[in-house]
Amino acid sequence: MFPEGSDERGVFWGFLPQKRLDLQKLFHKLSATFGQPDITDELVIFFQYSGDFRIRITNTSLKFLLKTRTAGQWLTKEIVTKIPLEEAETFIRLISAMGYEKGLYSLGTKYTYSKNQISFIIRMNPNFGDFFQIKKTIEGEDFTEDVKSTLTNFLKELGLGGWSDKEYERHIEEVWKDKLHEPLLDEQYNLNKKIRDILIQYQYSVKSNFFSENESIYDILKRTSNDYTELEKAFLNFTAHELVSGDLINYSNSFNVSASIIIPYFNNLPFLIKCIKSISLQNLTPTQFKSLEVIVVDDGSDSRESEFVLQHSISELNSKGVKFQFIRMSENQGRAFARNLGASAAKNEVLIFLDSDTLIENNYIKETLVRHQYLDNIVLVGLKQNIIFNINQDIADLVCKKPDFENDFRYNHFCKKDWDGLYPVTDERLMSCIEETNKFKDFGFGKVLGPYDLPCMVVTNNVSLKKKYFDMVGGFNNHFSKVWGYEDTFLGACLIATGNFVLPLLSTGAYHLVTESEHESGVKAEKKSQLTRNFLVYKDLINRRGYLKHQK
Amino acid sequence: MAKFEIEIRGGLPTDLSKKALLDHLTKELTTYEYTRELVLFFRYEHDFRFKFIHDQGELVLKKKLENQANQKEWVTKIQKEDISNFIFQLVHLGYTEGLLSTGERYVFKKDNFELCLKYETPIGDFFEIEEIVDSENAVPSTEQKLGAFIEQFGLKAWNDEEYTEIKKLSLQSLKKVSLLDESGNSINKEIESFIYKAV
Repeated sequence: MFPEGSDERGVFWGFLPQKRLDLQKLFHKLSATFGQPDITDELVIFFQYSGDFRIRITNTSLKFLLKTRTAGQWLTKEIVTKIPLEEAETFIRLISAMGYEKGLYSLGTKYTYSKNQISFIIRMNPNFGDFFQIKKTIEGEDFTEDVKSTLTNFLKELGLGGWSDKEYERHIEEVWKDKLHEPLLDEQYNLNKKIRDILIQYQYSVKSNFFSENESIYDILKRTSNDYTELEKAFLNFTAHELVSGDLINYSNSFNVSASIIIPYFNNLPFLIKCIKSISLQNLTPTQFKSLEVIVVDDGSDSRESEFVLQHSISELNSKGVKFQFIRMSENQGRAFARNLGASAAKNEVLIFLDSDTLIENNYIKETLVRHQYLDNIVLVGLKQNIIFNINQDIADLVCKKPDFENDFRYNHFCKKDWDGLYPVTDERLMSCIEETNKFKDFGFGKVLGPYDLPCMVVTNNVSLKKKYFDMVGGFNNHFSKVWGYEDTFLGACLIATGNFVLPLLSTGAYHLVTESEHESGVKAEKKSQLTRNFLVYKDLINRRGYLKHQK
Repeated sequence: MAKFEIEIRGGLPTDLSKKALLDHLTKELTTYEYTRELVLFFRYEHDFRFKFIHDQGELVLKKKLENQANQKEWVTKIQKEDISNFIFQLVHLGYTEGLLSTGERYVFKKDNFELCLKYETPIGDFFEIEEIVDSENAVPSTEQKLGAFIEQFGLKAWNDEEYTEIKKLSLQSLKKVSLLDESGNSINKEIESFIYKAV
């Protein structure tokens, strides 16, 4: 029962050569015949309910396919409904509601070479190994021996052999044997992570950046926008909630991304205990707690017993299902090095960097991860309130209250002419980077506001991003080791230059714990001196040609 | 953010021709949109539908939200050239038959509300006026505003009992059709001609 005029194709399948050299030769021959291939990551979900139904998601669309194959005739027929990517999520929900709740997933890269109605397709790393497919689209029922011999001869020239009918059946059987069928929607009715990831990759990564060998990061920043309007639309579409807003998202907007929280720590154990406590007080479900990992990196603290003192905090996290790693460095290397070490040990998709003298409000993780769930290339910058903190104070009430951002420099800052910033202050006034740049959207293209530019907004006191992008830029640059300041600004510059958007997180935030002693001028003078030294390192790195090319 | 849909329905007056009503409304509301609509209803427990409207297909799942009067809709659009393939796929998915409804719609939009006149439907000719508001507090005043608006055109809303009775009748009056013709190789001629006929 197929409609007249549906797609009909003569098709041969077979495995690709196992030897790397032979594979390279094959690619070379194919390029010589067909030209360059179209390359896309592809997720195929196979259903076996009634008929051979498949969902195929590529960079251009979602295709819903019904296939039949006539054994012995090398002929397949397909009925295809093409769904645009922006409709894909809804379509998958509908298919699931129709009873097609589970399928067999195959994620791989597809190379398509095409010429004169013949397509040669290579699929790498799908569920049953790397294989090829060669097909010729034919009209009506006129599949002839000629078509068959054309395809067979072509395969012979390439040194490939197609599967026989029996082999084909056997491979299909093997694919399905003992394979786990995965649901389209998870328990919270979110899209399966594999589907979500490929949709995000193709639909919502709206900004990509390319740089040449000789460009400096400074050059790239000058031509890079931070207008994340398209991401706002996508987020609103997914959650019915504003991406950058002071309001919390309804609790029903759950997340299923996993996060590693990295806390570098040096000689301030009582604050670290409070910081960890604020993680265990997060407003999360048991499943969500289980998706977290906390990594504390002891940056060579004087006291050697920190791990033992932390036992209570660790047990508290473990009891909630949060995994915990403690890494001790034998000598102090500085925050940049410690954070890199923590990130290299991280196993989860999202990295959240917190300072050990920071408490996060109890909605912080939820608000952060909901955004990372739906958006890919974002650096989510949390704001903070400095508070003078008595170490005996209980934090349970404090973390239930949203911090007041009035004294965060990105929210409000009176810039004086003698301010030692990245840029000289010419106009002495009260400024709000968030307000004056439409929440950073107009802070791209190297714009400078008072002493700041967009990279300055990235402060790793509390910030989050995808691990893959952190790794892509090589993490924190270790030239800033041991010395305070600008290491996070430089990370921000690298992330913006490689296609990330910087967004403020306004619905929640953090408390930065300050002791009375930190108000003493001696400490401030020391920090100022460190800042000046790192300023020169920053200027050198930002203007270095080809820096990012080297990192990649 | 929760949305609240205020919807008022009623029969179209029999003593006023279509043309006269459209002319009257056009004076007040300037322009309208005309579209033909075909709906295939499947399995009432899911309220699952295939619609042809605005010259394209829509697969619709309506879900009542718990403890709320309004409902959530999932809609996927299907391009006209793919509709025939999709109907075949629906049959393979087990949706071999559906209840068919066809009709014509004239949609007027003003401010935040939408007035729709529906002609030649299985339950006759009727209107729907609707507005979506953000707050539950806005529901009574919006109901009042919409009621006053339709009254000036001589349109009268159905009360709850009338509407329940009409709904019951509408289900009874819908015709059950097979999605494919007897050969099983082409889609039902009535559906096909509605979708592909020149307008």
